[in-house]
Amino acid sequence: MNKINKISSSFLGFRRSIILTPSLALIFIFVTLSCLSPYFLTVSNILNVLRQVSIIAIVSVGMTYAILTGGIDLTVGAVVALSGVITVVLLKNFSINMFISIIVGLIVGITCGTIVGSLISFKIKMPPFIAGLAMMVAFRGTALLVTDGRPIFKLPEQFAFIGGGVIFGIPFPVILMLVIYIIAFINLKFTKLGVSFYALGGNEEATRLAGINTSHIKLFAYMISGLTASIAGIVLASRVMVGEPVAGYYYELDAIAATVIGGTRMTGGEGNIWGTLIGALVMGFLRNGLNLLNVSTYWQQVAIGLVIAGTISFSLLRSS
Amino acid sequence: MKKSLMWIFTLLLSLSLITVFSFVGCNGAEEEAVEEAVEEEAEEEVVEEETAEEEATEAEDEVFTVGFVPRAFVSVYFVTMADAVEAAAAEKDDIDVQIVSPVDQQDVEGQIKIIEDLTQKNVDLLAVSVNDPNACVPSLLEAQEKGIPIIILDALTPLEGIDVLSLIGSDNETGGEAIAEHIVDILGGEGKMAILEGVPGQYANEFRLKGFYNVMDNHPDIEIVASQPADWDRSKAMNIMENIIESNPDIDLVWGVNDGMALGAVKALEDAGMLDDVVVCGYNGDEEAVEAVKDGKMESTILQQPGEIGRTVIKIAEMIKEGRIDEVESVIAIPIVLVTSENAEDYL
Repeated sequence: MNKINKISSSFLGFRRSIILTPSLALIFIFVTLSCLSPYFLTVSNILNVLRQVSIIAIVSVGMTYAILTGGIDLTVGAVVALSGVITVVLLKNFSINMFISIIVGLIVGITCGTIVGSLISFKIKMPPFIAGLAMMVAFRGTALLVTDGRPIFKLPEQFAFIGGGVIFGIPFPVILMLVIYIIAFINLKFTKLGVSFYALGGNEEATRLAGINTSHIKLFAYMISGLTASIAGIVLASRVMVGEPVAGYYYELDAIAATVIGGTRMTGGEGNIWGTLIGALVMGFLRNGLNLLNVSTYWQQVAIGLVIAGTISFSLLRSS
Repeated sequence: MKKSLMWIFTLLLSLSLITVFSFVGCNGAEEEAVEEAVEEEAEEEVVEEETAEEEATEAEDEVFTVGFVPRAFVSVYFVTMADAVEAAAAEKDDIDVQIVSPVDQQDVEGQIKIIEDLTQKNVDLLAVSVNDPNACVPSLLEAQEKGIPIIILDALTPLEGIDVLSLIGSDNETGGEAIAEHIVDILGGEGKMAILEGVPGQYANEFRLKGFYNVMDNHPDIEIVASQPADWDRSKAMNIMENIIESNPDIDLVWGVNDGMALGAVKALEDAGMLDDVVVCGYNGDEEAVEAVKDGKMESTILQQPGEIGRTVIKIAEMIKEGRIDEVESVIAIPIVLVTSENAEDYL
């Protein structure tokens, strides 16, 4: 325990300042868009964006875990699709109880994470990027197999609550997102396991020599990533009320962007889960603003790319 | 602990393989094989489907193989087309279809590789729905040199530098014009509308929009208050529609450049309680969309008749097999159908 404390304490001073840059970026975007569009700063718009962002934000939690360990999880988009369709297939085609269908969907996500994590952590020790590339196609293919390539629609009404429900005026996905972030925060900051992720990413060899089973920690990170992706997948399926094998395309890119804008280093060992949330909000509000202002399609691509590159450059410059 | 996890992993993998192969047993007409390229430069992956039409050795020489290359299976459009091709081939004893598609809809290089692979395998007919026609010409030329007849799907403009046997389908541009004219009709020449675009720069997207503006430029009283890319994605379209409603609550109509996005817009409007006030049009004629048109949630969609295109491919295969290759028409225009509540029933 002492050894872990020593390894991680050097990071503690850093952590407080990591989220400064993304926070500034968020404030900047907020102020600019409020001035440019009268529709931006309304309660309904803000709630809309929070709800729109929640799915990617949930996926980003798992991505942050993977990146913290010095790896990356490219399969999240495919897992979003796969877990969503399996839940929906059970629910609609086999008339299975909704809660059981959801639990199976979550198990699918964890299984996918386990497969990817095992390839990376154990004997084979496949580089995470390659493992992700290979498995994302396999998972996507499985989703297409299960649905025969077509969307599954006309779902039972009760399923709509997860993605579309509202509690005390706040959309349910937003509440779910916040709960997940709080759990992740507590885990990463206050538990031995959580701190191990940082330690592993910071210096794998030292952590291993300190007596921590790094293989298990790595595997765990990917299992968590699979789990959050499946949660997001089920929320997504509920939101659109369709099980689509083509859902979640390129979600991994958004999740990586959110994580990195949030201050987590791609090399691992440094990061802040709230930073990831802010990163997701930055991209969400940016896109929302571009929609509201009806910025032309091609300029949007440039704008989003520049904001991401700019924010990351700024935080890298600050820390060097 | 390590060992048992390895076993669990192996078990999961074997279970999934067993499931895959059991489909071969139960469902004789379909076999799926998923290839994983775990090499260092694994960039493009291929999802390969083969119909289990292949008889034993002797019949193999007699079997006429059609290599069918859709753009991707991302769209139900191609699933419908592929199913039609398979079904039509299944009815003939000695026509075999190999359906190989790139994983990604924008994957031009993936298509090129697949064309080259099929050329290597010496298929008897190559039917391709091209991503980027110009990029595929060199690989198609190789096929041509080997004497493999080529059919291009979903395009009516002849490719430069290559002699295709036939062009089948309809044009994205013509389809765009058709929906635009219908929209002008619905709106009575004036109103506010929004467009949910597909992936920017993508062939189908650009030509549908081109056709749309060919007509729309003549109607300045129809204001396009928002035209945003939703990348063919239903949930992105839903998000964007929500945002558009914020800044343009008085909108009259929204056109989704594919049905998935149109249906996303429908959901957003439903949630906002605005579906009765806003007309939604789509494109593609997916079963789900046609049902929505029937139920009154969508107003219309354009059906490019992927099923018809698929069946025509097999008809041509038959003609070639019977030695009637000269009779194949060089352009087979499959009519576009505007699906509205009046004719929705017919297209389900």
